[in-house]
Amino acid sequence: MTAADNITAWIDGVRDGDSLAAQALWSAYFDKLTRVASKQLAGARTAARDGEDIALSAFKSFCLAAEQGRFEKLIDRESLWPLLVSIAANKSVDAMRHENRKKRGGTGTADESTPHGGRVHADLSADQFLGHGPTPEMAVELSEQFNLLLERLDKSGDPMLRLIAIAKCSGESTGEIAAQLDCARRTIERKMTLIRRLLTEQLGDGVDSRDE
Amino acid sequence: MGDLTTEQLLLINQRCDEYEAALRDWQRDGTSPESFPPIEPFVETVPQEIYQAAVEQLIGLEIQYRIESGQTILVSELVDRFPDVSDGIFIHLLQESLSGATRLADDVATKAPDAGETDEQDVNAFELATSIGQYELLGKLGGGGMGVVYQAVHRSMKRDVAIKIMRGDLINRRELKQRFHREVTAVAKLSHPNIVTAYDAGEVEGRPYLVTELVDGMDLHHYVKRHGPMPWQVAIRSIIDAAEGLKYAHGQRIIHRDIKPGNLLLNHEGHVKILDLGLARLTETADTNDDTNATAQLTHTGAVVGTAAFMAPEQARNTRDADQRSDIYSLGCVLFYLLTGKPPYRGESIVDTLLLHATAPIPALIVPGGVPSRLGELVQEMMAKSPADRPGSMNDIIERLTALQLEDPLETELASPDRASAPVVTHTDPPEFFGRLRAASGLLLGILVFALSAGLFSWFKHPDQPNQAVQFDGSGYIEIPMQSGPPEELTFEMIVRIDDATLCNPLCWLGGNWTTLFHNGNWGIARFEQGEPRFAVVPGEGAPVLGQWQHIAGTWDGQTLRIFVDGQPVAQQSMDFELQPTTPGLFIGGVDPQRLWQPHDQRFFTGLIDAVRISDRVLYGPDESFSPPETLTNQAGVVVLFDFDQPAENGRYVDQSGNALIGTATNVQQVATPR
Repeated sequence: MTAADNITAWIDGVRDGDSLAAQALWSAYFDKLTRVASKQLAGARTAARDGEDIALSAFKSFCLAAEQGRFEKLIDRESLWPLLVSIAANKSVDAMRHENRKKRGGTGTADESTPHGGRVHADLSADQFLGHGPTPEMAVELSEQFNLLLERLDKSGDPMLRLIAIAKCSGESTGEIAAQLDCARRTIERKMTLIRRLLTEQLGDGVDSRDE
Repeated sequence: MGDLTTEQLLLINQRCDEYEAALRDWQRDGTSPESFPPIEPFVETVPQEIYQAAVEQLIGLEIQYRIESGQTILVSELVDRFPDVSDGIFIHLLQESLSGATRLADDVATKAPDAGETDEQDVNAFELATSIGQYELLGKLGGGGMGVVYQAVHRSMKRDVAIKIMRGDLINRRELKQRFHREVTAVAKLSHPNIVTAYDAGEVEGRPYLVTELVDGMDLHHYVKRHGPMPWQVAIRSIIDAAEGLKYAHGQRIIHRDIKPGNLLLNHEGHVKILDLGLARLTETADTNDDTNATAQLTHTGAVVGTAAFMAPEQARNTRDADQRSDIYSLGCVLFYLLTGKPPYRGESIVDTLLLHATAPIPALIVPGGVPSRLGELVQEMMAKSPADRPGSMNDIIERLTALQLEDPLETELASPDRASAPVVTHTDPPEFFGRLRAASGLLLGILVFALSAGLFSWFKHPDQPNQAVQFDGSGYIEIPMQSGPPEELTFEMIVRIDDATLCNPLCWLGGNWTTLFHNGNWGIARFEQGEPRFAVVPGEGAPVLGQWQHIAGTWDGQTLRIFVDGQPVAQQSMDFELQPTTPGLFIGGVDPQRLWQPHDQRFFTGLIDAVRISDRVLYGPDESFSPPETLTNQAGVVVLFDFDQPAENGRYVDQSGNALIGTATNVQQVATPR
């Protein structure tokens, strides 16, 4: 099992609510991630370039939500964040792996078979990964993945999907979103199923493209 | 939908959006409530492999919008329209929508009119006829999912009756007619003083009706809503009555299956009569009709809601599993409700509530003043998850409750609000006092027990006791559960010594027009009135008065907030202050952070509080100074009184206003202090 699989399985565990310890670790990780992102957002605000606004939407969504005390909603199993983090985490782990290989001048294939070689990160357990805490790179990756998701949602032809994903990532409840969009709760639930499906596909795409 | 491809999901999503647009148009138009847009045109062209999933999604929307517009939807209607789709799906969708719907039909009740409850716009009212058979209709008593109830009088016998007649739009529903007839059969078999008596039944213009005695009184649901929880002595009388009626019904092999406060009528003599046997089941005949699990619970929109709060787990799993022990469970939940004013379990949806019945630990009986521990134990047993763990019969329950009633009240150990084994009041209190009283008449004993349970402990106060106060260290508070928010007019008073000038809310009554005495360097009072925050605060002059005892009073006369420091009225000034709606509760020293919106900074008080008194009127006139009382005592209009000279018992402070409030302390200390 690769680190990516580890983390995905672990995040699934969080989503299914099967381990209190996992939930606690995830909650702590997410808390730190919010702070890392907040800092970046503050930095970017100082830079104040218009073009960055879109790239920052993920940060904004969850920094705002955390500020407004919606943290509980951000880490619950209905949230899109665990899935987004797991995609971003997979990318980060893979990136680290590539980085290590390059440092040792390896080709990337020989290391795989070396017992004490470059697979350190591949064996990194989800606990270890999350225990390390989020890096600024991780936050950037997360923001990129969020924007990829929004692009994918726009391509579906249903303009509501983008609005719902952003609202959901800001910790708004299904009832609140339904009221804003003047539709049934059931509609929001249906569209969330669709959003999760598209996001899961994004996870698959990411893993495929790196692990080819 | 997990096995569908993304493209298939997108197609269903698109169809649903189109259909919801049609539903919204219909809803906004509002001129033809019965002709909702059907889903059929939207599923006609979908590929066969996604037909079932598409119907499920679309019908979910149809149900939700129709329920919102007040329609009744029956599982049988949906089964007729989509015979290929499992009825389990429809039941599930109906339950989901019902749990999210805001406007639910009230239960049908055979009861005297309640002011303001008549529904002039009910399209199902029996508007054309002024009489049914020999009965002259006098007025509508109520309406619900299945029928409408009228008050009527028999022409020649001049007997007042209640007539329940099936709604006109339901008469083609064979299974509903069967159900109506089943109620008639069940109730006709029964003749008991604690069951509403059936006089007559028949059919007019194809609509079956049932004539019963008219009970002049109020159902227990409305009773508790209006008067709050019952003292346990009163509650067990009602439960004994209901148990007598049910014991008789069980003897006739009839299970009620829908015991809830709304189905128990309290008449003016104080006796309870059971009504609405619409779900009753004759145990000797197997249910062979299409009365599937939830259909029985779902026949009208309100029933399932009212029922879920009181339904036994085995009955929720399968209605046919219900036996007399399910009625025992429901009656246990009713007893819990009468004592606490709340149903034992409340989930966010019906399904959640049913799950809580099946899985959640039985909640503790939190009753100000406590209940006898044996009563607490009986409620726990009645509400046992497994039918085998419940009392065996209604007779058992009657015997045990009667025993409690007959006992020498002074021998009855009152259980503490949260632990059945820890007595709050026992006869370890001054024994010679009780000994003398024992010699007095039974009536006097009864009065004393009432006084005790009302919390009049100040009788026992020793005059030479040193003055005591409660010390708050900036993290502690005392919480007093309240039934409602603060009154329309009020006076808040505290004898207080503030030791730290940090912004704090030492006295806060949440809920409704919540009101708070706060300190931000100066004393202030704020109130949330008709959704708008209002404030009064002493203008900031000089340093805050720290380390000195003060009498602080805040008043609200319906117009103006005023504040008095040591009997001196203080000029007012408003300030920015955020207030948002809250649920009822009284807090001394600071508010449980869970109870306020986030982010709300902690406003805990540091200092001493000697006494707190709240009155439901304005005690101090505007612009008048008064000599501040040295102690706060009980008098007319006092609704809350905590004199902290009485130390806590098991961490609980007992209110001395006679309202039997209990304050639970967190992180506070009782200290002796000179004043």
